[in-house]
Parts: sequence; C-alpha cells; structure tokens
Amino acid sequence: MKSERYQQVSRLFESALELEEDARAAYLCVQCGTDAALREEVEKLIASHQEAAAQGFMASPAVERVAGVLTDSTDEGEDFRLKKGQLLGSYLILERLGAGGMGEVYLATDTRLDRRVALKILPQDFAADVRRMQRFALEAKVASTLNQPNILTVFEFGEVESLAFLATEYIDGETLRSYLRTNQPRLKEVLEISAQIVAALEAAHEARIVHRDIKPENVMVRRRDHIVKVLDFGLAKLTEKSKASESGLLTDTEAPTEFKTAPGNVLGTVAYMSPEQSQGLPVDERSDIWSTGIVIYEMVAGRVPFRGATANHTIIEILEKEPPPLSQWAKQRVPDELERIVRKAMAKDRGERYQTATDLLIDLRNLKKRLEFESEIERSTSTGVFAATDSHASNEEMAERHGTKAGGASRRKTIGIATAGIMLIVAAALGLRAWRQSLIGVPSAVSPSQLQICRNVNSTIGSPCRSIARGNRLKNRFDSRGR
Amino acid sequence: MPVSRTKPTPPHEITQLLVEWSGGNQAALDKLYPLVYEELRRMAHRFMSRERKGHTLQTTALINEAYLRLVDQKNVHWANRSHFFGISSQIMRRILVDHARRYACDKHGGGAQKVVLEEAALVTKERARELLLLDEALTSLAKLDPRRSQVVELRYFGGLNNDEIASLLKISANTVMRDWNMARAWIYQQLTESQPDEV
Repeated sequence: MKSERYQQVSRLFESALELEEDARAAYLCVQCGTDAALREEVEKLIASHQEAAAQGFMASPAVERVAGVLTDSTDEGEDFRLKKGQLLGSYLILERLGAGGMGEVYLATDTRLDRRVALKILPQDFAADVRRMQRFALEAKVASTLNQPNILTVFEFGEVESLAFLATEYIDGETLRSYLRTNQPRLKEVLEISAQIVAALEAAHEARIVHRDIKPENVMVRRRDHIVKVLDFGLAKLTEKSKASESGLLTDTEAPTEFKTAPGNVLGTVAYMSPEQSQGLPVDERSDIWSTGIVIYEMVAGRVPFRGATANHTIIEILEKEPPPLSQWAKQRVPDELERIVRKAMAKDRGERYQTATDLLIDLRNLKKRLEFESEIERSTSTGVFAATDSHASNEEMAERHGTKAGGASRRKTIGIATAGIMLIVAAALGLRAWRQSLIGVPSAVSPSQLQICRNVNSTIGSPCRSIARGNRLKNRFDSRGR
Repeated sequence: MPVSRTKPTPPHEITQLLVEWSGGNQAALDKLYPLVYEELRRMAHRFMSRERKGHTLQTTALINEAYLRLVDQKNVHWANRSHFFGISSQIMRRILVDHARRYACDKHGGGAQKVVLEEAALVTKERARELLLLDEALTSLAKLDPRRSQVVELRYFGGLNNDEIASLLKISANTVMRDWNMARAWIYQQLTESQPDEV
C-alpha cells in the first residue's frame, strides 16, 4: 500500500469507527465519492477490526502467547522442571518426550507398579487457571472411566510438590496428524483407523460422554501395530444427566481447544467442528460423528473439506457448503460407498447423520470387508483361477489404479466370469451370515429375495462383489428401520 | 535452579549506557542492547522453568525486574526508566522472534519419542509461525506508520498499558487507543490475507 493511500484509509477508518455502526456506510459513501476501491478498503479494514476484536487477536502480550517457544528451546535440560532420574511422587523420570504450550511430557516408570507411563505436567499458567484445572481433572476422571482398547488409558491425576500432572498409558507412536504428514494411507488403512476411532467413540458415547474435539492431533497411532488411541478427553462433556453438567462445570457453548484465538491458529480445530458446535449450540454424540467424518475425509483427500482464509470463513463453509466429493482430491479410487458414508457422517442436519457411532462403525466395517473381498477376487482372477480373463482382469486393475472404470466393460463380456459371479454370490451369501453375526451380534439369514437382488444387480453391473455389498447394504437399511 | 553462567555486567555500567543513550548517544545503545537482550532472555527462560504456581509470565513484570537488576536506581532520572521500557519492548520482540524462528524451523515431532507431545508442539509451532508473520507485518507497518507500529511494539511485546505508552510517546491515551485499533486491524488483515489455511 502506498503511503498516501494508507494515510487516507487510516484517517477514514478512525473517523468511521467514531460513528455508530449504522452511520458508517453513509459517511463513507460521502467521503469516498466515486472512489469505490477506497471505500472497499476502509470497509475491509473495519471488518478486520471487528473480527480481530471478536477473536481476541493480540489481546494479551506476545510473551504469554508464545511462551512455549521459550520453554522448548534447544538448550537441553536448562529449562525443564524435571530431570532424568528424578522422582516425582512414585514416578521415576526416564526421559523428556517433549514440551510446548500445553505442558511438558515425560516418559516415566511408576515405581509402585513398575510400569511405563507418560507423565504430562501442566504448565504453571495452566495450573493457576482454576477453570483449566477443573477441565484437566475432568479429563482424568472421564477418561479413566472408559475402558476400551482405542481410548488412551488414564492412570492418575495428581499433584506433587505443587506440580499438577496426569499419568497415562505410554504409547510409542505418533499422532495421526504427524502420521499423515509422512504417509498417504491406502483405503484399507483409512478404514482400519476410522473404525478404531469410531469404536472408541462408541464406548465413550455409551458412557454418555461426547469427546467434542476429534481431530488428527487427538488420535495416536502406535508404531508397533498401528493400534489407534483416541486421547484428550479434556474437552469431553458428559451428556445431560452427568454430574459435571449438573454442577455447571462445563457448558454447551464451551469451545474446543484454541478456538477463540488468532487467525492461523484457529484453523486446525475449527475445521473439525460440526455446524452446531461452530455456532455454539448444544452438541451431542452426533457432533463427534461429524468430526470423525472430517477426519476420514482428510485421510483420503489429503485435506479437510472446509477451509477458509479465516476461522469465520471456515465456519461459513461448514454451515453452507457441501463438501466436494472425495474423488476430486483422492489419488486412489474412491468407492461410491465411502463417498456415501462420509457424506452421511457430515450431513449438516444432524438428524440426517449417522445417529450412533455403532451405525457408522457397521458401515465402515462392511465396506472394509467388501474391499478385502474385492481385492481377493482381483487377486484370484489375475493369478489364473480364471485364466481366460486374466488379461482383462489386469486391465481393469490398471484402469482402477488410474481412477477409470473402463475396464469393467471388457470383463463383462467374458462368459466365465458370469458363472463365477453366481458361484461367488452363493459363497458370499453364506459368508454374509458370519459377518453379520460377528459385526453386530445379531443372527441373520440371507433371504432368497436378497439373493435375487444380487443376481439382478449382477446381471446389469457385472461385478459380483459390488452387488453383494449392495444387497448387504439394503439389508442393513431394512434392519435399522426395523429397530 | 540454573545459575547465571555469564558474569553479569555491573549495574553502574549499564546505568551509564542508559543515561548516555537517553542523552542521544546511539553508540551507547549498541552496547546496551545485547546486555539487556541477554538478561531478558535469561530471565524469561528461568521464569518458564521455575515452579511458580499461580504466576504467568508477564512482560512488564519481567522488564521491571530486569530494570531493577540492571540499572542503579539512585543514579538515573525517571525518564530513563521509560527509555529502558521502550528499548526492552523492542528487545522482547527480538527475543521472541528469534526463538519463534528457531522453533518453527526445528523439526518437532519427527523423532521417535517426541511424538506424544506433537499436540503441544504443534500449537506452539503454529503460534511461532504466526508470530513470525505478525513480526513481518509489523515491520511493513513501521515503514508506513512508525508511530502506530511503535504503539504495537510497546503494548504487544513490552506489555505496557495505554497510559504508559502515552507518557512514553508523549501522546494522549486516546490517541494510543486509536492507534492500536488501526494497527491491529491492519496487521490482522495482513495476516489473514497472506496466510491462507495451513492446517
């Protein structure tokens, strides 16, 4: 911006701010005359002023905001509160795992039980903040009531020598955020990770706990076996009948981590907020479903569906925009079913979302099984079970790898595959019963009509496995209606 | 507790430099700057590592403590104190920006063990990046509007309140408020325009 222009804009900005809000437009109209660009600049600046004020931008001094850069410096050891070999209560400090604005984390041994724990020490400004402390205590309390393999186990919340700490299960792994930075997970893996997140939520929701802050930073992936752990129930809110809400400890409008902060910082979290959450409305289990939908989307697409230049823009997108189809971003073939699952998880109207984590989990697991089944067929067709179709099959594989479906037509021509298709339907139908039993614990029978559906679909579409999954889905829909 | 490792500069020397600089000697500032930088940096670090329950790191308190430690009170005029706060705000900005730069470039979370803390490191890293952008914007603002950028420096980096800034810059508190509003809106706009959505 040229200096003269800047002077002009700032003068008008200050004068306009002195006026009542509704008088500003007229004032600027007169002052700017025909210079529409000038007027626009001033108006933009006024909007920035209001946004900055609303978000508390630069409200507290820089040093409070970036204190973390001072603690986590490269001068090892100098600035940390605990040293290797030191005892904190019954915890023997083994090493520092890291530090930052949210506190310091150490790897320690619980000498009473001789087990490894991660020890999270609260920063002093945290510990001084009663509200945050309550929240921290709640994190411990809430998480320790949950006993599910995909939820990070909390052992203890305590205070020793005026240090407040949280002892949790130690996970040798990385956050999903960090994992995604270096990995582009295949569909199968996406489904495995998603299903585990949803399984954690299922357990939490059953205990009437809404996580409220599901995002890749709050999901750990264990290195050894890729077991997923959901952490940070610090923002979890017990649903209605809980003690916490009775005591007014948490309110519905409470924002997730770092929400009310400056631009740039906000985005990480706002992007995962459900429409109701972003408006400060009461949230329930279905808000977690939404956030999980965003995480699944991000794993496949490599980006979140809604993101604007500022938090407010992101929120507007969340409220108004339909997410672009996954296939628009994904480097791999995206099954229609996955598009449907993600769309349903991210329905703006929560009444149209998956109503329970269980429903979402069933769909994810079914899709995973279906894909496994499909790839099994691909494998067997290309390894000579159907020698006649071998070249076609690999053509299709190639085509699918390139995101086209052109190969399907050529394979349909093969007589052998049609016969094989029917055989497979029967096999799958038998298998279906086992799946359903293992998935939802409800015995199920495959009705002849369902086989009929499969066969019909098969004759028009030509891919046996796809049609089975379709039949399966129809059945599920029917089931959920009946329940 | 860490013990200061470098030998502190005697207060009378710093006091002398401050007096000289206040009197218009720019060379004195060149000598003063690194001394105050080192002291403030060390104090900030020590503060962050100390178990001071119930305290947050406050810039003004920090600078005040540095002032008391560094400057011989008996031999300086009150005006020197304002100067000290002025220069300290600038120095705090430098300290934070230097650290933020190191932090933002540092590969956090890549290590096998550090990842548990990724969440915390990420917040800090985001803030570090944001601070660097903010610092850049403030530098651009200084070219267009030195006074407003100084108001931001004193308030945001020095932790001074409007009245203190007013008396330091010899302007009214109202003007400080207006300057702040304008500068903050301007910086906010620069940040939101230059920094799209990096998650």
